[in-house]
Amino acid sequence: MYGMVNQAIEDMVCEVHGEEVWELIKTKAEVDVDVFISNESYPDDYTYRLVAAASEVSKAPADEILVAFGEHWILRTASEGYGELMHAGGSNLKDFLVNLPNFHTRVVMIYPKLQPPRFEVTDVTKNSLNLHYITHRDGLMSFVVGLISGLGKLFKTPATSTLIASRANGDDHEIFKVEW
Amino acid sequence: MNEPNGNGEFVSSADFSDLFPFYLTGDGQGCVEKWGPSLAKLCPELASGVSFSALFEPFRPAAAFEVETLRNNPQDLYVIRHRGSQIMLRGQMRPHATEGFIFIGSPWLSDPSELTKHKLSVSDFAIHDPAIDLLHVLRSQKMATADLQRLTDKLTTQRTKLKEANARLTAQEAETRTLALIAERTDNAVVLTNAHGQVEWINPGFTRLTGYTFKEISGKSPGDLLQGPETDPSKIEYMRERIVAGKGFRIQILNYTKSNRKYWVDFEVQPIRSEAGELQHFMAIQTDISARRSAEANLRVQFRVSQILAADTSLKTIATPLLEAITAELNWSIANLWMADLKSQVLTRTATWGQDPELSERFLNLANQDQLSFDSCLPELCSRSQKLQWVEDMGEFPDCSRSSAASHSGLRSAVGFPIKIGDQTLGVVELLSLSQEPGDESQNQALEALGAQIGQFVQRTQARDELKMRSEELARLNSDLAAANRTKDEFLASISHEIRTPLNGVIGAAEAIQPTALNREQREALEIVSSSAHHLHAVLNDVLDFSRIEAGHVELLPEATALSEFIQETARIFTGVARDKQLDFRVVDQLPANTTALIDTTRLRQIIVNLLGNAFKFTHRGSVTFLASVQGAGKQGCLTIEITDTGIGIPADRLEQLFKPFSQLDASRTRKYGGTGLGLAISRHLSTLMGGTLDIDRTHTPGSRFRLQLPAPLASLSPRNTLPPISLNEDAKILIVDDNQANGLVLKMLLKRLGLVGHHSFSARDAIDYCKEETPAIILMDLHMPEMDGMEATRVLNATVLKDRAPTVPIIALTADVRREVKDACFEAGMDGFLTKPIRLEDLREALAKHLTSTSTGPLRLVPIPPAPSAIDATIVDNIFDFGDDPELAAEVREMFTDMWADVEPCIEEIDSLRKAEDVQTAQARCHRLRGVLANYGFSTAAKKLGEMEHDRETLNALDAINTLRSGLVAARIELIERHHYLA
Repeated sequence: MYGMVNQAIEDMVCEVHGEEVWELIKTKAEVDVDVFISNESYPDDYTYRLVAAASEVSKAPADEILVAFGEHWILRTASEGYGELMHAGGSNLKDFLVNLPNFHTRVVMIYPKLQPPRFEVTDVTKNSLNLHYITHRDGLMSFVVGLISGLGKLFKTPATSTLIASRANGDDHEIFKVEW
Repeated sequence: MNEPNGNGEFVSSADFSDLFPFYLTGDGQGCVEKWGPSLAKLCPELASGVSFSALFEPFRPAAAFEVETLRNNPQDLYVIRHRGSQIMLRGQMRPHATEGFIFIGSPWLSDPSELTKHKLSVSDFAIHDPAIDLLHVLRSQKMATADLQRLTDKLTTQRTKLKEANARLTAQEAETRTLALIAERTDNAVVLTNAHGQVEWINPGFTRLTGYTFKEISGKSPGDLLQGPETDPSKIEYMRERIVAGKGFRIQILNYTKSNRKYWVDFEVQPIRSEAGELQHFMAIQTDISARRSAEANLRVQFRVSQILAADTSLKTIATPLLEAITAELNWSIANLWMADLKSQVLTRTATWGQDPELSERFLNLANQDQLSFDSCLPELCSRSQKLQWVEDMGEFPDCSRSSAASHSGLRSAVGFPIKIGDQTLGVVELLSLSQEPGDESQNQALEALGAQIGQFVQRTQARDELKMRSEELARLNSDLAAANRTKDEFLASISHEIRTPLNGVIGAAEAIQPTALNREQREALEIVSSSAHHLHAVLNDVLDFSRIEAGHVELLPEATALSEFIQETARIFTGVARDKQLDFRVVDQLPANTTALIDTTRLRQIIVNLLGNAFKFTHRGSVTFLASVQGAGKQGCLTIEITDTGIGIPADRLEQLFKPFSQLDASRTRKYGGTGLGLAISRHLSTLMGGTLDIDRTHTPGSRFRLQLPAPLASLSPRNTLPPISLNEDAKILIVDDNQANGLVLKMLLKRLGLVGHHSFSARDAIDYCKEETPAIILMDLHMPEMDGMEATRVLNATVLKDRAPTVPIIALTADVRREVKDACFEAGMDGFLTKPIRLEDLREALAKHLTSTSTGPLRLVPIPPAPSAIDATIVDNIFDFGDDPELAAEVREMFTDMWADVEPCIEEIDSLRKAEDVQTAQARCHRLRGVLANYGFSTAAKKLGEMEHDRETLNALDAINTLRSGLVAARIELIERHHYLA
């Protein structure tokens, strides 16, 4: 997972609970990283441990943490990090989501070490589409839900996402039906 | 548009626009023909036929656009700038159609913000266009830069924190080193335990104090090793509770070292917690306070003992509280007090105190020894050595008969200290303990000090008891002495009266006989009787006076006195003597005019008469000088009297005895000059009593000079003799109550001088009977009378006949007894005043003036009365006595008077007989003859009376005629004595 994701966790925890709690979470998670470099790759386990530690410290379920984290990533981290490129990705939610696969393709080319998920968009209608989330990672569906929710807030288009397929159910990958 | 390619393949216009959304074609004239949709977004002014150069300017290459150049340089990378938006486009140029050109390119963006600026989005770019990727890379670089900045900031912050932490660490290290040094060097024991109180670390001080090493105590609770049998269980429990509760505490507790030595420790424990508040350790600091506690105990015992010894009682009384205080404060089990009998060299147990009474009783029973002698037991050792002795174990004390008893009682250590006064041991205090204690130097010193303190107490009580005994003896002696003095005074008063009365009788009788017809032998014998009686009278007066002065019974009565007048009056007494002895008598009055002083004239006159008398006695030729002067002023006034004579003087080796009583200078002088030997002693005593001095001028020769100096406050008070005259109504009588006729006669004369009439009652009974009929204005009551004395008479009169008289009748006591108790008794008896015999006219007048206020017949009339007529004709008398320095003439005059007195009384008797026989003619003839004689001698009053009797029958036959005649003669004799010291 690249650093920007962990930065998002750090930002969110620091904003809500303060830096001391973040240090505590890092200690609990045994993640001894002072500064997460945005475009640097870090073991996925860091992210999992940080989420778990944050869940323990804040006494909130991990899924809840991930949803909040996903929203925070879109609304703060990515927006601040990518800035106009986020907005350039689409003028509205639908366009952004439609462009999301290409966006991720470019990222892959720029950061070869990263192993970003693959997104595909199908069944695009006026108010919905199916977002295919293809990844080797487990347990980050809630994060995607949060991302989608965050995008909806970013484009001021409240959106909901429904998991319509998952590997847990034997599907190849997760499919979210996004509706707005 | 469908453009066939060289191979004849077609790409639709839409695809072409999609693939190259920023393309532009121009014709051979350089005008725009077609363009892509995204370029149109950038350049809204694009329109066909618009000059390409008008819309875009070359950047690279920089040459102006030429179509030919554009067509023919396919290898160049063209960067053009839109003139309107200034956006850069990068791409290639190719020939297009026949003469035109085509630009294939895309915007060159240096920052993703330009997308927004130019309202471009990702979809405006061909998917294959790497421009967006470039933006991503640029963005990524920015993010990386931002990350680096964050990292730098974090590193800076961390470096700062590290610096601070290092600084703190350095400080902590320094502090730790210091603390470690302190912990290492301090004599206090420092212990660190875990949260359960088990030792984790100790400092060397702990080992020095307790004897335990870290190895021996590590992991254990300190109390497990340090507490012992005498450690207070309640304190142990308290500490345990505090440890369990994780709380600090401070306590003083008795601990034991590894060698089982007891010591007191001040123990402070503090919990140490982590930053999270979790209890991690206890830190304890122990300070050995054994010495301090011992010193405090020593001070306390000294204070308590001092308090006990402050009681004004005996050692026997305080022994038990004393022993109790010592044992309690110094923690001994039993204390014994052994008192030494120095004669028999035996120590006897006087008192015992035990903290446990059963233990002390057991020991005493086992020891069964209340006396120690010829034994080397502890008290004996102390007593012999006079020093404190310490025994570590009584059970192993050799040759002590009580060692077994001590051992069986569990008693181990003992100490004995002596009670000393100087080098003498009075006793020993013995202390015994259940534990074996080594000697304690500070306690030993305290015990020795106690021994000295108790010794001083014993010394003090002994001195007090002796003082008390002596005081009691002294009081008894004083009481005996006072009784003896009272007896003496009463005897003197009694004897004074008993001697004076007959002596007055002898003198009076001698005087009565003198005028009678006596032959020479009888006359000489009478002279001897008379002079002897007078001398005896003088001796008696001197002895009584001296005795009164020595007993302090003389009371001074200072009065305002006109000094010059007094000096002259006093000097006049000796003019006759001076004339007799033909001595030059000089009176030098150096007193300022009208000097008045407050002085007891009676006593002053007594002294001066004594000094002048001596001067005239011991001077046979030359002069006697009487000098008077004053020094100072006001209350600091001082009167100086100097009597200087040219007489026989006083040998130098006799000067010391001069003022001693009964020490006449030598026997021959005594025989020759007579005297009582008390005059100067009395005079000196009186001068001292009056606050002055009487001395002899040792340098004056020949002759003698005596100097008297007395404080004489100079006052402006009018002399007493200016008291207003007294006047009563004509019928007022003064009652005189005195069993002595002469006394009564004198008083009547004195009263007559004051213009008053006196009635004489010879006994108390007569006075009472008189008062039943009459009311006297005042009663002059003699104290000493037979049957009923003056005080009793006063009580009877006041209770009976005078009880309801108005106004009340004052009663004045007449007595020679001047003791205060006599005066007090008189006033208690109801008397109103007191007159001392001999009664002087001024005293009488003052007493009468004081006590007479009004009479029954009218108020007091203050009218001047003529001075009492003199009973003599001073001119005739002075002429007779003016015999200058002729001793023979003086003797003739004296003989003449003697003869005259001898004739007078028989004549008076004859006259009385003749008138009673009614032989008036003869009686009157005798009156005539006697009148002439008396007139010649200057006895004018008597001569006048005889003249009246001669010419008036009624006067001749008057009842009081003869008495009046005799009174006149007495008055004349008194005046003669006062004026010319006749009969001296």
